[in-house]
Amino acid sequence: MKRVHDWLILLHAVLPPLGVRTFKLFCLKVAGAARGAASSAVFMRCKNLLSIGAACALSACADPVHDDAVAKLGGEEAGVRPGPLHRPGQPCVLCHGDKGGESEFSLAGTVYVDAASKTPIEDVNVTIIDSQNRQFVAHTNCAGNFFIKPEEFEPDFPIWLSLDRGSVLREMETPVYRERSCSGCHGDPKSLSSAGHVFLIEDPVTEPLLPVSRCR
Amino acid sequence: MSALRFPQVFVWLSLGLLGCGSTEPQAGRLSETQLPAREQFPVVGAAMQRRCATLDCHGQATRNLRLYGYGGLRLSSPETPIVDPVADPTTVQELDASYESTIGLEPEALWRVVAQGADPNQLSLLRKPRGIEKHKGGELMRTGDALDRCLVLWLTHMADPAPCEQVRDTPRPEAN
Repeated sequence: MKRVHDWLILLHAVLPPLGVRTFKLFCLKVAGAARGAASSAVFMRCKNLLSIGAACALSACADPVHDDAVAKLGGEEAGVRPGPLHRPGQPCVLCHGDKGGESEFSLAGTVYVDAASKTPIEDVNVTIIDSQNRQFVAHTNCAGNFFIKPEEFEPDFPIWLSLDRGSVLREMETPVYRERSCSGCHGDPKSLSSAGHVFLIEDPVTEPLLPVSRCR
Repeated sequence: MSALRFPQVFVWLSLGLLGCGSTEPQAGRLSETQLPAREQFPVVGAAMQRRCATLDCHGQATRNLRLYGYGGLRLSSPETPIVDPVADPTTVQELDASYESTIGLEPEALWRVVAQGADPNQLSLLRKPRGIEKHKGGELMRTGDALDRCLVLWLTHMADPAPCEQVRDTPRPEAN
């Protein structure tokens, strides 16, 4: 995190002198097209606009809160390459969202077998019904992960979710109003401000035990 | 006016100005008729819990209008401990906290509505979920729908549990 800030400070120090010279040359050309007294006014206006634009662009590069949240996720797990199987249980859309820079997801998360374990479960249907009553079904992979790309389905919030596999159906009681990562609300451990991880089997006595994932 | 009489005039003027001053409430001086009814809040709170208080919205500890209860953010204390945050029903302490959060959102404006009969449509509590005022959660209700009626009637001393219960008991939608 500190390194990001150090880089930003360096950028702010180095870019303005470079930028001012570039803007000056560019605006001199623009102003050259205008004649007489209008020429200097055009030059000043051009330079001011470019400076403001550059300042806005620079400030937009940094979101320390987002950077901090990403940094807290830590590195990749040993032996798991970035891809559909990586980082189960983490807030996917932190990186796979409009601020993250990775391919964007409409919704993503991880499903585990039960509340007590962190064993992922594959082939679970994740059914989403949005406020327009449109339905989309995603499927978990062997890491328990599922993800929906905007080109596949862009839900209109609020959305209602349910999980099913075989004869087991688990419906989420509350709708989701805007969070696109399951673990945004379903982080571990379960606490006063978190519902605990997403799971399929609530009662192993009455609900059949299902074969679990093969990739781990 | 003689110079000797100036202090007297100043005192009378000051008293007169005090009389014209605001009669808005001060901390700890509100009577029950100046606030929306706490005894009606359980059903109003249940409707708000359903529509507003999920963990991704007003069930977040970092938000204003912080709401507590089943299905969202939980509030535990030695007197009313929350054993299972996901399963325990909403406690009286959580309802108290949500009520205080709701009436504390815009105390002066709320007081004008409840105690002086001002137009409730000025309140952010209605304007935001109606989408009239910027609301991160977008438009959650329309004027006259069940949640809107639940809130407006409660704010205007005409609390009716029916629309609130309608919101609370809204079934999951079916796919087209």
